Order: sequence, then C-alpha cells, then structure tokens
Amino acid sequence: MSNILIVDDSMTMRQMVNFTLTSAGHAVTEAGNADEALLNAQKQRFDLVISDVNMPGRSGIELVAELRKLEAYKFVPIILLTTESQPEMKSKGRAAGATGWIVKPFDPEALLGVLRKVLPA
Amino acid sequence: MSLDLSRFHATFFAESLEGLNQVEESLLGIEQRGHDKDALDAIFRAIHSLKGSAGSLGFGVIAELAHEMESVLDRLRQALMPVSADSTNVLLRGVDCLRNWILAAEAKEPMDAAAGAGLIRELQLLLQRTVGGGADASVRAAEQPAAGKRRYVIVFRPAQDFFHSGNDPARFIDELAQLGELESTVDLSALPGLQTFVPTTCYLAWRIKLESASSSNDIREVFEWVSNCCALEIEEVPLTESTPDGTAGDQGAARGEATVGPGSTEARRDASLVTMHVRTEKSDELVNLVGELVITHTMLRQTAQGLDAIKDARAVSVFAQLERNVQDIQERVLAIRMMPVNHVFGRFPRLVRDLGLQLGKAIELKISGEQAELDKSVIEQLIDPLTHLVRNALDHGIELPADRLSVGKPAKGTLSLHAEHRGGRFVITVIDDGRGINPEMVKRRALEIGLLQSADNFDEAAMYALLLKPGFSTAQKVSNVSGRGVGLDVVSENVRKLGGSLDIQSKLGSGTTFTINLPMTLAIVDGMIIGAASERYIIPIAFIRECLQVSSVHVQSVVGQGQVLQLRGEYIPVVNVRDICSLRGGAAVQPVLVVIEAENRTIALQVDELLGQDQVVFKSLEANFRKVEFMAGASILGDGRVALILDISEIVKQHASIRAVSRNETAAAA
Repeated sequence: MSNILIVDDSMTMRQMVNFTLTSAGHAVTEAGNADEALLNAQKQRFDLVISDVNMPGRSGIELVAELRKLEAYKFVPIILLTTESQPEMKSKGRAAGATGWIVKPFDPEALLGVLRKVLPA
Repeated sequence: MSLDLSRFHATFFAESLEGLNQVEESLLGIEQRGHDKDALDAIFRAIHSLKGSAGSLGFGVIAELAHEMESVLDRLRQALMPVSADSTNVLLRGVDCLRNWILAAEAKEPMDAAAGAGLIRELQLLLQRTVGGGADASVRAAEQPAAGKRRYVIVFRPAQDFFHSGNDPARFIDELAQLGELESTVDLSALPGLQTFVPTTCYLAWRIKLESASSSNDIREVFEWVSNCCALEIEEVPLTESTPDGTAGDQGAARGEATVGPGSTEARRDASLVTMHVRTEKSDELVNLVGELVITHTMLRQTAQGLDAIKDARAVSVFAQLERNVQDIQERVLAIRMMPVNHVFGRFPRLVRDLGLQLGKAIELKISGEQAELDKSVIEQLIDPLTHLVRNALDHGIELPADRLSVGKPAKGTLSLHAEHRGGRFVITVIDDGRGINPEMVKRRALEIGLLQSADNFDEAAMYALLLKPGFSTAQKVSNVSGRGVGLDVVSENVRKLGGSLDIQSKLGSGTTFTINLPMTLAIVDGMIIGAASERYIIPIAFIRECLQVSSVHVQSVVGQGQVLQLRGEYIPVVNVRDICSLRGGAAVQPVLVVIEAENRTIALQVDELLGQDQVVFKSLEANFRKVEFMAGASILGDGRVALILDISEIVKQHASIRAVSRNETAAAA
C-alpha cells in the first residue's frame, strides 16, 4: 500500500482517480490546487504525487518545481495528467522535474499500469 | 460521473485520420503482396482502437462501421478469409467513409450516416460467405498478441541525473519485460571508486536483448518519460531461427516482388526509430537565423580579404575555420527540413488503383527514389502539381487495354514516378508509356483558338510551349482528343513558383515524360552576382549553362528576332538585362553573355560584368516589399547592399512568348 496525493481542480477527476487508487488498496489524499498540495506535502511524506497541469493558481508544472525544492521530495515520483492536445506540457513538465505523465483520457487500467512503473512492488 | 468528452475530440480526429492513412497504405500493400500477418495485425489494431475511442467519445456511427470492418479484418488476419480485390475494395471504401465522417465531425457538420449502411451490409455479406470461426474466436483473437516475433538489441544508458526525475531505471526494464522475452546485462564500466561514488548519481547502463512482437516504436514508448535523460539505441536484429508461421519467409518474398517502392516499409521503419517532432516555425526561425549568419559571414569575409597571408596568418586560418563551420551549420540546418519525397509519392498507389479501376485501365505504378529528400516547404507544394500530372497521365496518356493490345503494347500500362538529386537540383520524372502527344492535334487546336497564327515554324519546342499556355489548357474538349492539356499551365506555374521548371518530352505512340526540376531548398541558393549599369543582380547558378565574353562569340541581328547568339550550331536569343530592368547608362566595356536554361528553352542574358559567386539568402519581395516583375526575390550582399535575384523562369517564359509572337508576325507578313 502506498500513500498517494492527487492534485486536481476538477472534483470529478479527483473522485475518479481516488476511486481507482483506493480500489487498488492505496491511501489517497486529495488537494484541489497547488498550494493545498504543498501544505499537505509538507505535513506528511507521500510515496507518489499525481497532479493535473491546468489548475487555477499555480499550475501543475509549477507545483512539480516547488516540490522538487523540498528535500523530502527530491526523488519522489511525480506524475502529471496531460492531454495529448498539449504535447509541449510533457517537455515543460519534464524540465520542471516530473517523473512522467499520463495522457488523458485514460482508463483505470492505464492508471494502475503507470503506478506499477513508479511505486515499489 | 460525467466528463466533458468534447475536449478529447481534436486528439481523436487527428489520431484517427493518421491511423486511417496508415490503414489505407497497408491495405494497398497487402493487395500487392497478398496475405501479410504483420500488416493485417497492424490494420486490425488501428481499426480496433479507432472503434474504442469513437465509442467512448459518443461517435456511435463511426464505432459501428469500424466494428464491422474489424470483424472482416479479424477473419483476414487469421487467414479464415482470403485477401481479395473484393475485401480490399470494401475495406478501402470503409476507410474513405470513416475519414469523411471524421472530417465532418471535425468541421462540426452532420455525418452522412446513410453512406455507412450499404458498407455495413457489404461487410456482413463478406463475413457470411466465410465459414467457421465464430464470434468467440474473433474476440479471443483480438486479445492475443501478434505472432510475428522480432529480435531487438537495446542499449539503455540513463543520464547521471536520472534519479532526479523520480524515475528508477529498473522499472523501465521491468516494463520492457512485459513486451516479450528479455535478457539484460548491466554495464558497470562507469562506476567510480567508493571515494568518489555519489549515491544519487546513476552510473549504470544496460544492454538488453528482447524478443517481442512489438514494434520499435512500442519499445521507444516505454522510455518516453525519460527520453530526455537517457541515451537509447534500439536495433532490430534478424531472428536466426525461422518463425513458426513462416513470417520471415513471407517478408522475404514481399521484398523481392514489391512493385510499389521496394524496401520502402523497411526504410520507413528505420526512419521512425530516430525521429523527433519539431514545430515548423522553430525550424523556419532557425533557417532564417542561419541565413543571417551566412550574410554576416560573407560581410566578414569581404573585410578579411585585405588580410595579409603571412602577417595575419592566425586571423586567416581562423577565418578559414569559421567558413567551414558556417557551411557545416548551414548544411545541417537545411538538412533538418529535408523530408523524403515519399510524403507525396505515398499517396499515388491509391490514386492510381482507384482511377485505373474507374477508367477501366490496367496500370502498374513504379515508384523509385522515394527516399530522396527535399525541403519540406517544397514537398508540400508539390502535391497538387504531381497529382495533376499523375491524373493526366492516367486519364489521357495511357490507353485502354484493348487499344494498347491493338498497337502491340502490353495491356497493362506503366506509370513511373522517379525522384533523384541531380547536380544540386532535385528532379522528379513522371513517365507514362501511353499514346504520347499528337503534334498535329496540338497544332490544329492552337490555330483554331488563335494561339498560333501560322502553322509554319511549328516545331517540338513550340508545341511544348503551347501546351503550357493557359488558353490552350482550358480547351478541355479538344485536350481529351489530343490526349493532354488540362491545366498544364497551372502545373507549370506552381512548379515555377518553387523556383523550378517543368519540361515535357513526348513521343507519339510511345508515351510522355514530364520532368520537374527543382532547387533543393528555397532558403539559400548559390548565386552568380552580375553587374548591369550601376546595379547588381543575382542569377541562381543552377540555371546557368555557361558564360561567354561577347567579344569572343558570334552575335548577329536577325530581322524580327532581335539579337541571336550563334553557338556550336545553335541559335540562342540574346536578352539584355538592362532592357529587363529598364536601366540606362554608358555602354559596358566588356559585356558578358550568361547562357541560361529553363522551361525547355535556352536564352543568353547579356550583362555588363560578372562580379563573382556567392551563397545568397533568399528574401521574399512580396513579404517585405511587393511583387516586382522578373524578380524572384532579394538578398543582401557581402558589402551590405541589397541585390535582386532574377526570376529566370519568368524571363525565359516572357521572352519566349515575345519571340513566338514576333516569329508568327514575321511568318504572317511573309
């Protein structure tokens, strides 16, 4: 079981990801924006952060950069949720220090597949 | 849970259209080569995923047709149904229908659902005709991986800061293992001693042998996240033992007999290994900057001409070094924009097939040199003219099978498309072995519509020039009889806009060859700088045949023809650049004739002096000023002055027409 933080301004999306991850036996914390996510990340150490890119306030990419500045998050996997229509986000995210991305739309199976790639077995 | 699906539509449209193009190409390939499991699997997967996304995005009509196509494709790939002209036809029409629907959806127009009903019935009929292989079998088969295995050697070398992205190299190897059988060895050679060892640095590299049905793109996709922080080499190596289904043998046979671009699929596969998408604007900016660099370098070189080879030896050698580097950069940057001409040629197998069926003509399309590369901007603008020439050849050039047999030709006509680099220019030929152009017909028609005043002096060159005239080409009725002509002026004009020329060679009864001659790139050209009065102009060197001193050759005046240069038995009209550019001034001391060739014609341009050769950067006049007659563009010379680049094709064309008129007038007067 891993401790996962999901960051997305869309409640629907958060609920969908949350449901998939809790069904797979993980502990999930939700954050509605980057600031909330940073506060949460400082309070406890997550094994994985999954964040949307386009959010009001600071973007997911800025969040990645902020997280990487924290000592505890130097090597923690951070996955961005991007859409294929914004391919440039992939490289921007990568430059900020993101581990990888999931391209929307995705089905639960794809999400779990990505988890296998970044979480300890 | 409701998601706004419309934001995924654009992705779906783009992806599906690309997929359909691939499917179309593969279907045509299979028609040529017969059953090919790998290709059928790929087609099946493409239609399958199209069905999936269409369904989840609410395009039920698309999903329904895709479903029926998928069922047929499943039978085909399991060899439960033979690949036939029937099945290919229906599937190709299915592809067309899906494409139309997607384009309609993209344009927010209603989809013509009725168009699919007939197709679905035909697909179901095809299915009914085959026996065995129930619905379960097709579902099961959809889940099975492709049987055709390939072997890869993959070298995966993570960058030293690999861990900083939160990634773990071992996970990528794990994921790779899911694609097939894998054997990996770790390269420890970069590992430092304990004293200098930094635990957060990645020192390891892997060499992985993988046997898998996946493509090299699938493999590359595994590493997509880390493509910027690792070096990745993927090489496909031949399988030593033969595969159980004999795929290796099939491929071999296909390679041997493929008439449409032999080896092209392999070449494409290789090309896809190492590609990267760059926005066109980025490369345009880069080309522009390199242009500026070339200009700056030329200016610098002119300044450096005063340097003493001994006193300033160091500076001289540095300049030489700079020159090499600038040239290298220029070549490499222009090479980025080069694309294989296959991007245009690739669309013709389908066109030829469909048009052939429609016209009742049997046609073999031979494509060669499709891997030759040309500037992207040129390639895009070649699509229309080439399509025109191919259609023209099929429609008017190649005869019906019965007519061909009656004149002792094979029933099947041949259309060849060939591309090659020839002396700094790019040459594309479209050759048909059809009936050729009938000079008598052309002459009669030209006289009829007044393009020709007299039948005298009507030679081959005059005929080709007539064919390219707008007035002639729009005469559709007669062009059908004469065999050629619809819109050739448009083709010629398009080619000319690219700085190229269109040549025609035709032999009555044996066929016609169209040759498109193009500059390699539109951005930077080799130019001859010439002086006329006090002005300087540039002639693109690719057009120049030779340069002669006026005093050393025989130039004579001919009534009604102006001046003519007599050179090795050839009479070449002389045009003075001063006349073209409306320049006045004292006579030149030692005028020079520059013999240029374009548009099937040769003329001699008289200039005051030759000032030297240089690489010149093409700047558009239209974009920066306005269109100027007889000028193709402008460039900045080494001394900072602006010089205009002569539009050779336009000059030759205009001049030829003046000549033709004056010749006709002369003839009429006589």
